[in-house]
Amino acid sequence: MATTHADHDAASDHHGHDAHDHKQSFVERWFYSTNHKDIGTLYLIFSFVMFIIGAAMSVVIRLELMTPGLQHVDPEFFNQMTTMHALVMIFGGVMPAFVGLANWMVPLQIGAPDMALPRMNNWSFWIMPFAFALLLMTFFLPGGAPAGGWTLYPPLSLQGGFNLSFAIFAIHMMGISSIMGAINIIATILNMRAPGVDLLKMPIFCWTWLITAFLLIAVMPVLAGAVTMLLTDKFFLTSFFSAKGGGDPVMFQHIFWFFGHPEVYIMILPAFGIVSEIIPTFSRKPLFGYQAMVYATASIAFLSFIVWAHHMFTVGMPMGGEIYFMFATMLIAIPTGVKVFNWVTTMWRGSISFESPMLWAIAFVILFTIGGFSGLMLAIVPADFQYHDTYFVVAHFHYVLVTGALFGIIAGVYYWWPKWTGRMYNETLAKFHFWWSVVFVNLLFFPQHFLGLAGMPRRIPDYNVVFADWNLISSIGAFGMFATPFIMFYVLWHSLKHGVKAEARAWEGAKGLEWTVPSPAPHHTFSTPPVIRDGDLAHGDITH
Amino acid sequence: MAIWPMAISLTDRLSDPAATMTTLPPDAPVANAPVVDAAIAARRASARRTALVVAGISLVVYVTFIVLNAVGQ
Repeated sequence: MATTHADHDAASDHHGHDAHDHKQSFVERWFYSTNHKDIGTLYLIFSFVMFIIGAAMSVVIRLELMTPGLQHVDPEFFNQMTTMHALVMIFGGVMPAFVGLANWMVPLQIGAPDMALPRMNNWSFWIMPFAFALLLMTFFLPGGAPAGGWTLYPPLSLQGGFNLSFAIFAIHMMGISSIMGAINIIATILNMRAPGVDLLKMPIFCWTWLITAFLLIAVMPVLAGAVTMLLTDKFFLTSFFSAKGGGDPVMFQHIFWFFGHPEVYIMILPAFGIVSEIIPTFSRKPLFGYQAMVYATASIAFLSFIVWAHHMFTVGMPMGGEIYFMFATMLIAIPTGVKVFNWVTTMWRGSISFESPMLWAIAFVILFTIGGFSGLMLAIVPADFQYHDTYFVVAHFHYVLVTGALFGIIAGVYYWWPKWTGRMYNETLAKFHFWWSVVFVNLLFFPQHFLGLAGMPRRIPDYNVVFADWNLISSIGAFGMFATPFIMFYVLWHSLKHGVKAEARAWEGAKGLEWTVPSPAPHHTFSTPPVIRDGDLAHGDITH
Repeated sequence: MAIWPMAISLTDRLSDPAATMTTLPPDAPVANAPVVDAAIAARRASARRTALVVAGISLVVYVTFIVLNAVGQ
């Protein structure tokens, strides 16, 4: 069964030619595909389009907020924008992007020929465009799109028009897609690893995705259950959350955040994994504390289930509950601190070079930490009573989700792009993209801390003139930030057209099985399980 | 319990090995392809069982959750 490394490369090459010999039509390749690389590409393209749609909505929001008063849109449409921006970015942008990266990289990193359930993989992608078509078409319904916030709190969400049923059906479809994707990743990692790829030798990206997949399995059915009950309250006269029938609207909030808080970690843990791949590569050192990183990820995932009510301090709960949720939330800082410490320590005395993926990874560590610290501030009950529902919260979760999750995704794309396409990109252009983004993202979100601390509420289209200056700066940041996906598109297009050919190991310090196959990765890889040699695995010879 | 074989059959279809072309082409420079096939097929069978268990868990969470809320009302 064993074959040599060179044999494997030859086999991979052969598969590459084989794939080209069998001429697939466009429809065959992209609609019927069961190939993990093609489906990964589809996910990434889909999420890129969704990011642009979601960003366009944020530009509408920031355009309205650029100066005090109502100028461009009416308040109802403004609320639709805030609601849909969140739904599109979370479920259409961030989550599919990580699933796309997992599709591309997990089989390559564990030496598997494909995902364990390839047809289900195809289904889980192709559900997504229909789900989002359904969600986005609510703009054209009488009454417009959902406008009660992405949290869909009743009774407000029940008072809207028929858009709720469209939105709930779309959420169900997204949930089914996510669950199918998670099942596939769990089944792939637990069963399809090449001989020698032990669990505690897997790249951290695979570990973070394995834990994320379990989070998805645990909480997506909870969201599905909650919105199903919302649907029956709206159309079938039940009273789960309707006070007039004896139901409890606050119960919805508890259920929603039991999903919602782990959802935050679903969106950030894979980014932790990406950064944990990139930093050792460009520091030319093994990851410091590999096992500690794995246990920290698992600890964060566990804690994410027992802190949900910190989103609800102002709703009202017993003092004992508030104290418990405050301290439980603060506990998350410990495993998160372990991660940040290990990233910094990995860089410590490393032979660091600052190629684009490393720049994004370092920015991630610094800026995500800012988001983490503001999260700690929000966890303090008496302080939260002041910060709650202000722009401080908006600043906090955008530092987590934009400079955290999104920067992680972009870092991953720049890191693995040469492997996907066989082309390097122009570093100068990529660094321009990085510095442009870092400047404007901070211009966009940092002033929102000040606005929130000064008392500006979130989800309003108009505000007191005392908030005018920081809002203007924030809006300028938003307009600059809107250019970034287009800059990135140009960098990648330029790479495809003019990029220098990439080697199999595109980055000097890169380790892991994905770097043992040619660049671009052949259509079929690891049909013959690879023979694992010392140094092939990203963390294979690390025992601490 | 006819549902169990049905579910196995469904996951068999979902993970059709032919769809992923895990088999090597006849002229591939590896002499032990059938052995490799058997190993990968075994891993896929194991993966299908894992997938069924995980899918079952998510379904149970969904149904139990709604039933408990309904009973609670």
